[in-house]
Amino acid sequence: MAEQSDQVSQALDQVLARFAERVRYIGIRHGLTGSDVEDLLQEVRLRLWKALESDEKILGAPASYVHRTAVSAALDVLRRRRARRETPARLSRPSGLSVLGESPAADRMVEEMELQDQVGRALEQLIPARRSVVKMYLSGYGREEIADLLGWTEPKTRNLLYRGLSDLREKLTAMGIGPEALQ
Amino acid sequence: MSDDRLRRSYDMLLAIRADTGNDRGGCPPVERIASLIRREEDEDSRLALLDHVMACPFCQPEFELLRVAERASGEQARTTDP
Repeated sequence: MAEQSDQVSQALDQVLARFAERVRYIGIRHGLTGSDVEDLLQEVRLRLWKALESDEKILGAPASYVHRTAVSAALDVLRRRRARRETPARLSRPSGLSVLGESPAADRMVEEMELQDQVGRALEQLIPARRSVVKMYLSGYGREEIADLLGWTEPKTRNLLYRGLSDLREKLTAMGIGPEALQ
Repeated sequence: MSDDRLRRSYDMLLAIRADTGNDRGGCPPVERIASLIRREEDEDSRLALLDHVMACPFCQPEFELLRVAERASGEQARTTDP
């Protein structure tokens, strides 16, 4: 019995090894926390074990089956979190607050907050296609990722992003925020 | 203002939104966020959805988790299955 359990565990390790490596690599690169990534891996492992049960079936599962399992596992992890009203951890991208230092002077902090408010308001004034692209870009997505998500060509994405950023700067300038703002 | 400076300001804006409330009444269901990754809706709907997700400190990490699951396992399926 224990031997059979070990074999199933080894089969799961083998099937999930490459997936786990990719999830960790892509996830951490995109700012997910370690617990997000581990929750997902654990859920996928549990689902494969429950659905396939034997080491032979697990080892024989096509990658497309693992793919479908991974996507539905991610959905379930998120549904459960929402049902428990858990607040998702923020993506761990370099925060502007750390750039200011731990105890920024009060006047600097006020300037920063005003600037953020103006950036937020200026963004909302952009036309929808440019606004979404600019928000993605400011969130750290590259042009290729944006093009892929929207199903656009790279030149179309580049054009909308360039025009969107240009519009954003124009609107900020009209609000009195010049190129030298809070360098 | 440089792109990096704009990014920092935007990141701080989202950090403040995250700290000042977690009312998710206006957030789309996770199934719709997943449909965004699979490009299932028309372009206008996708743009409207992305507009929310990219400005919401709660939906953005959910979007990333779904995208990671899709990408990590999808790449493997494309390269190994017949």
